[in-house]
Amino acid sequence: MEEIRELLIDIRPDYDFIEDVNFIETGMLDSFDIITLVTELEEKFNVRIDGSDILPENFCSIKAIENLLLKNNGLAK
Amino acid sequence: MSNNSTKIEEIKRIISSRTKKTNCFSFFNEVCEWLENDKADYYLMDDSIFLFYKANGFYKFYYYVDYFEDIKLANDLLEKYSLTNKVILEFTTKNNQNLDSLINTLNQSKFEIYSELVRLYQGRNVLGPIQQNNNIYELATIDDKNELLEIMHREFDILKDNIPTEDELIDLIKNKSIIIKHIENQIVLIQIYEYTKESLYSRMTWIRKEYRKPKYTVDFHSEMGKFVQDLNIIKSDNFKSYGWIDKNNRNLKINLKMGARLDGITCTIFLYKTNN
Repeated sequence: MEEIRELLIDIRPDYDFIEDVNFIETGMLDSFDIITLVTELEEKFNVRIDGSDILPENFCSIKAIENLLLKNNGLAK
Repeated sequence: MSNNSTKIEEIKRIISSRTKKTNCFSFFNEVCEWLENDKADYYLMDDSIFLFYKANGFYKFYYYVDYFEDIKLANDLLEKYSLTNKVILEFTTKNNQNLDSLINTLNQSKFEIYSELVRLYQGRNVLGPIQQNNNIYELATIDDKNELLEIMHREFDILKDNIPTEDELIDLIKNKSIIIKHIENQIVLIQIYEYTKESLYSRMTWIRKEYRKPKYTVDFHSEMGKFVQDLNIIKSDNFKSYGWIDKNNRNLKINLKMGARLDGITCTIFLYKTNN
Protein backbone atom coordinates (compact mmCIF):
# COMPACT_ATOMS: atom_id res chain seq x y z
CA MET A 1 0.00 0.00 0.00
CA GLU A 2 2.75 2.43 0.97
CA GLU A 3 4.64 1.80 -2.28
CA ILE A 4 1.53 2.67 -4.25
CA ARG A 5 1.07 5.85 -2.24
CA GLU A 6 4.69 6.85 -2.89
CA LEU A 7 4.14 6.42 -6.63
CA LEU A 8 1.01 8.54 -6.44
CA ILE A 9 2.86 11.30 -4.60
CA ASP A 10 5.63 11.20 -7.22
CA ILE A 11 3.01 11.86 -9.89
CA ARG A 12 0.94 14.44 -7.97
CA PRO A 13 3.15 15.84 -5.20
CA ASP A 14 0.50 18.39 -4.30
CA TYR A 15 -1.57 15.67 -2.58
CA ASP A 16 -0.69 13.23 0.21
CA PHE A 17 -3.21 10.52 -0.81
CA ILE A 18 -3.99 9.74 2.83
CA GLU A 19 -7.63 10.73 2.95
CA ASP A 20 -10.27 8.16 2.15
CA VAL A 21 -11.64 9.94 -0.92
CA ASN A 22 -12.22 9.03 -4.56
CA PHE A 23 -9.04 10.14 -6.36
CA ILE A 24 -10.85 10.56 -9.69
CA GLU A 25 -13.98 12.33 -8.48
CA THR A 26 -11.93 14.69 -6.36
CA GLY A 27 -9.72 15.65 -9.30
CA MET A 28 -6.57 14.38 -7.59
CA LEU A 29 -5.81 12.21 -10.63
CA ASP A 30 -6.80 12.80 -14.24
CA SER A 31 -6.56 10.41 -17.15
CA PHE A 32 -3.07 11.57 -18.09
CA ASP A 33 -1.90 10.94 -14.52
CA ILE A 34 -3.42 7.46 -14.76
CA ILE A 35 -1.41 6.57 -17.85
CA THR A 36 1.74 7.79 -16.12
CA LEU A 37 0.80 5.75 -13.05
CA VAL A 38 0.13 2.63 -15.13
CA THR A 39 3.62 2.82 -16.63
CA GLU A 40 5.17 3.24 -13.18
CA LEU A 41 3.12 0.39 -11.69
CA GLU A 42 4.09 -1.95 -14.50
CA GLU A 43 7.75 -1.18 -13.99
CA LYS A 44 7.75 -1.31 -10.20
CA PHE A 45 5.55 -4.40 -9.77
CA ASN A 46 6.55 -6.23 -12.94
CA VAL A 47 2.97 -6.49 -14.07
CA ARG A 48 1.08 -5.94 -17.29
CA ILE A 49 -2.09 -3.84 -17.11
CA ASP A 50 -4.53 -4.28 -19.96
CA GLY A 51 -5.92 -1.18 -21.68
CA SER A 52 -9.46 -2.32 -20.95
CA ASP A 53 -8.60 -2.04 -17.24
CA ILE A 54 -7.79 1.65 -17.59
CA LEU A 55 -11.09 2.66 -16.08
CA PRO A 56 -11.78 5.27 -13.39
CA GLU A 57 -13.01 2.68 -10.87
CA ASN A 58 -9.65 0.86 -10.92
CA PHE A 59 -7.75 3.97 -9.84
CA CYS A 60 -10.17 5.70 -7.46
CA SER A 61 -8.33 4.60 -4.28
CA ILE A 62 -5.15 2.88 -3.16
CA LYS A 63 -7.23 -0.21 -2.38
CA ALA A 64 -8.63 -0.25 -5.92
CA ILE A 65 -5.14 0.03 -7.39
CA GLU A 66 -3.96 -2.74 -5.10
CA ASN A 67 -6.83 -4.97 -6.27
CA LEU A 68 -5.91 -4.25 -9.88
CA LEU A 69 -2.34 -5.32 -9.20
CA LEU A 70 -3.50 -8.45 -7.39
CA LYS A 71 -5.74 -9.33 -10.32
CA ASN A 72 -2.69 -9.18 -12.53
CA ASN A 73 -0.43 -10.97 -10.03
CA GLY A 74 1.51 -7.81 -9.50
CA LEU A 75 1.85 -7.95 -5.73
CA ALA A 76 3.18 -11.49 -5.41
CA LYS A 77 5.61 -11.74 -2.50
CA MET B 1 -22.26 -8.38 -36.53
CA SER B 2 -21.99 -5.48 -38.97
CA ASN B 3 -18.74 -4.38 -40.57
CA ASN B 4 -18.71 -1.28 -38.38
CA SER B 5 -19.21 -3.32 -35.22
CA THR B 6 -16.42 -5.67 -36.24
CA LYS B 7 -14.13 -2.74 -36.92
CA ILE B 8 -14.96 -1.12 -33.57
CA GLU B 9 -14.21 -4.37 -31.76
CA GLU B 10 -10.87 -4.66 -33.57
CA ILE B 11 -10.02 -1.06 -32.66
CA LYS B 12 -10.92 -1.72 -29.02
CA ARG B 13 -8.70 -4.81 -29.05
CA ILE B 14 -5.73 -2.84 -30.38
CA ILE B 15 -6.27 0.02 -27.93
CA SER B 16 -6.60 -2.45 -25.09
CA SER B 17 -3.26 -4.08 -25.96
CA ARG B 18 -1.49 -0.76 -25.26
CA THR B 19 1.38 -1.53 -27.62
CA LYS B 20 0.93 1.63 -29.66
CA LYS B 21 2.25 5.14 -29.33
CA THR B 22 -0.70 7.44 -28.85
CA ASN B 23 -1.67 10.98 -27.96
CA CYS B 24 -5.00 9.80 -26.53
CA PHE B 25 -5.00 9.65 -22.74
CA SER B 26 -8.70 9.24 -22.16
CA PHE B 27 -10.03 6.36 -20.11
CA PHE B 28 -10.77 3.20 -22.09
CA ASN B 29 -14.51 3.47 -21.46
CA GLU B 30 -14.53 7.05 -22.76
CA VAL B 31 -12.90 6.08 -26.04
CA CYS B 32 -15.35 3.18 -26.44
CA GLU B 33 -18.19 5.62 -25.87
CA TRP B 34 -16.88 7.94 -28.62
CA LEU B 35 -16.76 5.04 -31.05
CA GLU B 36 -20.15 3.63 -30.21
CA ASN B 37 -22.00 6.94 -30.13
CA ASP B 38 -20.53 8.57 -33.22
CA LYS B 39 -18.58 11.16 -31.25
CA ALA B 40 -15.49 10.36 -33.30
CA ASP B 41 -14.82 9.07 -36.79
CA TYR B 42 -12.44 6.13 -36.74
CA TYR B 43 -10.08 4.55 -39.26
CA LEU B 44 -8.04 1.38 -39.08
CA MET B 45 -5.15 1.52 -41.57
CA ASP B 46 -2.31 -1.02 -41.67
CA ASP B 47 -2.78 -1.77 -37.97
CA SER B 48 -2.68 1.92 -37.09
CA ILE B 49 -5.75 3.67 -35.69
CA PHE B 50 -6.73 7.26 -36.37
CA LEU B 51 -9.60 9.05 -34.64
CA PHE B 52 -11.17 12.38 -35.50
CA TYR B 53 -12.99 13.50 -32.36
CA LYS B 54 -15.80 15.97 -33.10
CA ALA B 55 -15.03 18.86 -30.76
CA ASN B 56 -16.98 22.11 -30.54
CA GLY B 57 -16.32 23.51 -34.04
CA PHE B 58 -13.14 21.60 -34.89
CA TYR B 59 -11.61 18.12 -34.90
CA LYS B 60 -9.16 16.62 -32.44
CA PHE B 61 -6.94 14.11 -34.17
CA TYR B 62 -5.73 11.05 -32.23
CA TYR B 63 -3.33 8.37 -33.41
CA TYR B 64 -2.36 4.88 -32.25
CA VAL B 65 0.75 3.88 -34.20
CA ASP B 66 3.83 1.67 -33.86
CA TYR B 67 6.16 4.45 -34.99
CA PHE B 68 5.59 8.19 -35.21
CA GLU B 69 6.34 8.02 -38.94
CA ASP B 70 3.14 5.99 -39.38
CA ILE B 71 1.14 9.14 -38.68
CA LYS B 72 1.72 10.01 -42.32
CA LEU B 73 -0.68 7.18 -43.23
CA ALA B 74 -3.40 9.63 -42.21
CA ASN B 75 -2.26 12.37 -44.58
CA ASP B 76 -5.16 11.98 -46.99
CA LEU B 77 -7.64 11.88 -44.12
CA LEU B 78 -6.14 14.98 -42.57
CA GLU B 79 -6.36 16.79 -45.88
CA LYS B 80 -9.99 15.77 -46.29
CA TYR B 81 -11.09 16.72 -42.76
CA SER B 82 -9.23 20.02 -42.85
CA LEU B 83 -11.41 21.10 -45.76
CA THR B 84 -14.44 21.34 -43.49
CA ASN B 85 -12.99 22.23 -40.08
CA LYS B 86 -9.70 22.94 -38.43
CA VAL B 87 -7.85 19.87 -37.18
CA ILE B 88 -5.58 19.89 -34.15
CA LEU B 89 -3.35 17.32 -32.54
CA GLU B 90 -2.80 17.63 -28.79
CA PHE B 91 0.25 15.99 -27.24
CA THR B 92 0.41 15.83 -23.45
CA THR B 93 3.62 14.70 -21.85
CA LYS B 94 5.73 14.97 -18.72
CA ASN B 95 9.18 16.56 -18.84
CA ASN B 96 8.87 16.75 -22.65
CA GLN B 97 9.25 12.98 -23.04
CA ASN B 98 9.00 11.99 -26.75
CA LEU B 99 8.10 15.55 -27.72
CA ASP B 100 11.17 16.11 -29.91
CA SER B 101 10.56 12.85 -31.80
CA LEU B 102 6.97 13.81 -32.47
CA ILE B 103 7.92 17.32 -33.57
CA ASN B 104 10.49 15.87 -35.99
CA THR B 105 7.79 13.71 -37.52
CA LEU B 106 5.15 16.40 -37.66
CA ASN B 107 7.60 18.84 -39.23
CA GLN B 108 7.49 16.59 -42.28
CA SER B 109 3.73 16.92 -42.48
CA LYS B 110 1.52 19.96 -42.47
CA PHE B 111 1.25 20.29 -38.71
CA GLU B 112 2.74 23.32 -37.02
CA ILE B 113 2.96 24.21 -33.34
CA TYR B 114 -0.03 26.36 -32.47
CA SER B 115 0.26 26.68 -28.71
CA GLU B 116 2.25 25.30 -25.81
CA LEU B 117 0.42 24.98 -22.51
CA VAL B 118 1.85 24.19 -19.09
CA ARG B 119 -0.02 22.87 -16.05
CA LEU B 120 0.35 24.74 -12.79
CA TYR B 121 -1.17 24.31 -9.38
CA GLN B 122 -1.34 26.14 -6.09
CA GLY B 123 -2.85 25.79 -2.64
CA ARG B 124 -5.19 28.38 -1.27
CA ASN B 125 -2.69 29.53 1.37
CA VAL B 126 -0.47 31.22 -1.22
CA LEU B 127 -3.12 33.49 -2.59
CA GLY B 128 -2.11 37.10 -2.26
CA PRO B 129 -3.51 39.62 0.19
CA ILE B 130 -7.11 40.59 -0.26
CA GLN B 131 -7.49 44.04 -1.70
CA GLN B 132 -10.45 46.09 -0.63
CA ASN B 133 -12.03 47.95 -3.51
CA ASN B 134 -15.39 48.58 -5.02
CA ASN B 135 -15.17 46.06 -7.79
CA ILE B 136 -17.60 43.26 -7.23
CA TYR B 137 -17.50 39.69 -8.44
CA GLU B 138 -20.69 37.96 -9.35
CA LEU B 139 -21.78 34.50 -10.27
CA ALA B 140 -23.01 34.53 -13.85
CA THR B 141 -26.74 34.00 -14.26
CA ILE B 142 -28.87 32.77 -17.12
CA ASP B 143 -29.47 36.43 -18.01
CA ASP B 144 -25.73 36.72 -18.81
CA LYS B 145 -25.77 33.70 -21.16
CA ASN B 146 -26.04 35.51 -24.49
CA GLU B 147 -23.46 38.14 -23.60
CA LEU B 148 -21.09 35.43 -22.38
CA LEU B 149 -21.51 33.43 -25.57
CA GLU B 150 -20.95 36.54 -27.66
CA ILE B 151 -17.75 37.43 -25.79
CA MET B 152 -16.47 33.87 -25.84
CA HIS B 153 -16.94 33.43 -29.56
CA ARG B 154 -15.44 36.85 -30.26
CA GLU B 155 -12.54 36.79 -27.82
CA PHE B 156 -11.73 33.20 -26.92
CA ASP B 157 -9.52 30.91 -28.95
CA ILE B 158 -11.74 28.11 -30.19
CA LEU B 159 -8.84 25.68 -30.56
CA LYS B 160 -7.38 25.91 -27.08
CA ASP B 161 -9.91 27.59 -24.79
CA ASN B 162 -12.42 24.76 -24.56
CA ILE B 163 -15.38 27.04 -25.27
CA PRO B 164 -18.55 25.59 -23.78
CA THR B 165 -21.54 24.84 -25.96
CA GLU B 166 -24.73 26.70 -25.09
CA ASP B 167 -26.10 23.71 -23.17
CA GLU B 168 -22.83 23.27 -21.34
CA LEU B 169 -22.76 26.98 -20.51
CA ILE B 170 -26.20 26.71 -18.91
CA ASP B 171 -24.98 23.79 -16.79
CA LEU B 172 -21.84 25.71 -15.78
CA ILE B 173 -23.97 28.69 -14.73
CA LYS B 174 -26.26 26.43 -12.69
CA ASN B 175 -23.20 24.86 -11.03
CA LYS B 176 -21.90 28.32 -10.00
CA SER B 177 -18.86 27.67 -12.18
CA ILE B 178 -18.73 31.01 -13.98
CA ILE B 179 -17.58 34.10 -12.16
CA ILE B 180 -17.73 37.48 -13.85
CA LYS B 181 -16.66 40.97 -12.98
CA HIS B 182 -18.13 44.23 -14.22
CA ILE B 183 -16.28 47.52 -14.39
CA GLU B 184 -18.21 50.49 -15.69
CA ASN B 185 -21.09 48.29 -16.81
CA GLN B 186 -19.06 45.98 -18.98
CA ILE B 187 -17.80 42.48 -18.30
CA VAL B 188 -14.03 42.70 -17.87
CA LEU B 189 -13.37 39.24 -16.53
CA ILE B 190 -14.77 35.76 -17.07
CA GLN B 191 -13.49 32.92 -14.95
CA ILE B 192 -14.72 29.38 -15.56
CA TYR B 193 -14.05 26.93 -12.74
CA GLU B 194 -14.91 23.28 -12.42
CA TYR B 195 -15.24 22.08 -8.85
CA THR B 196 -14.57 18.68 -7.37
CA LYS B 197 -14.51 17.74 -3.71
CA GLU B 198 -10.84 18.55 -3.23
CA SER B 199 -9.84 20.53 -6.29
CA LEU B 200 -10.63 23.68 -8.15
CA TYR B 201 -9.88 23.38 -11.84
CA SER B 202 -9.49 26.65 -13.68
CA ARG B 203 -10.86 25.88 -17.11
CA MET B 204 -10.54 29.38 -18.53
CA THR B 205 -9.69 32.90 -17.50
CA TRP B 206 -10.44 35.82 -19.78
CA ILE B 207 -9.62 39.42 -18.97
CA ARG B 208 -10.65 42.31 -21.24
CA LYS B 209 -7.64 43.55 -23.16
CA GLU B 210 -7.26 46.93 -21.42
CA TYR B 211 -7.14 45.20 -18.03
CA ARG B 212 -4.38 42.74 -18.90
CA LYS B 213 -1.81 44.44 -16.71
CA PRO B 214 0.10 42.94 -13.80
CA LYS B 215 -1.67 45.12 -11.23
CA TYR B 216 -5.12 44.00 -12.34
CA THR B 217 -4.02 40.38 -12.64
CA VAL B 218 -2.76 40.29 -9.05
CA ASP B 219 -5.88 42.04 -7.78
CA PHE B 220 -8.20 39.77 -9.74
CA HIS B 221 -6.52 36.61 -8.54
CA SER B 222 -6.41 37.73 -4.94
CA GLU B 223 -10.00 38.90 -4.82
CA MET B 224 -11.31 35.95 -6.76
CA GLY B 225 -9.61 33.51 -4.40
CA LYS B 226 -11.49 35.11 -1.52
CA PHE B 227 -14.72 35.12 -3.52
CA VAL B 228 -14.44 31.38 -4.23
CA GLN B 229 -13.65 30.62 -0.59
CA ASP B 230 -16.74 32.54 0.47
CA LEU B 231 -18.90 30.56 -1.95
CA ASN B 232 -18.07 27.56 0.24
CA ILE B 233 -18.66 25.10 -2.58
CA ILE B 234 -15.52 23.12 -1.87
CA LYS B 235 -15.83 21.73 1.62
CA SER B 236 -12.21 20.74 2.12
CA ASP B 237 -9.88 23.13 3.94
CA ASN B 238 -6.96 21.91 1.87
CA PHE B 239 -8.28 22.14 -1.65
CA LYS B 240 -5.79 22.67 -4.46
CA SER B 241 -6.38 24.70 -7.55
CA TYR B 242 -4.84 23.91 -10.88
CA GLY B 243 -5.16 24.84 -14.51
CA TRP B 244 -3.44 25.24 -17.84
CA ILE B 245 -1.86 28.39 -19.18
CA ASP B 246 -0.04 29.24 -22.39
CA LYS B 247 3.66 29.29 -21.60
CA ASN B 248 3.99 32.56 -23.51
CA ASN B 249 1.26 34.25 -21.49
CA ARG B 250 2.92 36.82 -19.25
CA ASN B 251 0.40 36.06 -16.54
CA LEU B 252 2.28 32.78 -16.09
CA LYS B 253 5.17 34.68 -14.50
CA ILE B 254 2.77 36.55 -12.25
CA ASN B 255 1.12 33.30 -11.20
CA LEU B 256 4.51 31.80 -10.37
CA LYS B 257 5.40 34.85 -8.29
CA MET B 258 2.12 34.39 -6.42
CA GLY B 259 3.17 30.88 -5.44
CA ALA B 260 1.90 28.67 -8.25
CA ARG B 261 4.14 25.78 -9.27
CA LEU B 262 4.64 23.93 -12.53
CA ASP B 263 4.31 20.16 -12.32
CA GLY B 264 6.20 19.31 -15.51
CA ILE B 265 3.11 18.38 -17.52
CA THR B 266 2.84 20.18 -20.84
CA CYS B 267 0.36 20.07 -23.69
CA THR B 268 1.55 21.05 -27.14
CA ILE B 269 -1.21 21.83 -29.62
CA PHE B 270 -0.37 21.32 -33.29
CA LEU B 271 -2.60 22.80 -35.99
CA TYR B 272 -2.93 21.18 -39.38
CA LYS B 273 -2.18 23.83 -41.98
CA THR B 274 -4.61 24.28 -44.82
CA ASN B 275 -4.35 26.11 -48.10
CA ASN B 276 -7.53 28.05 -47.36
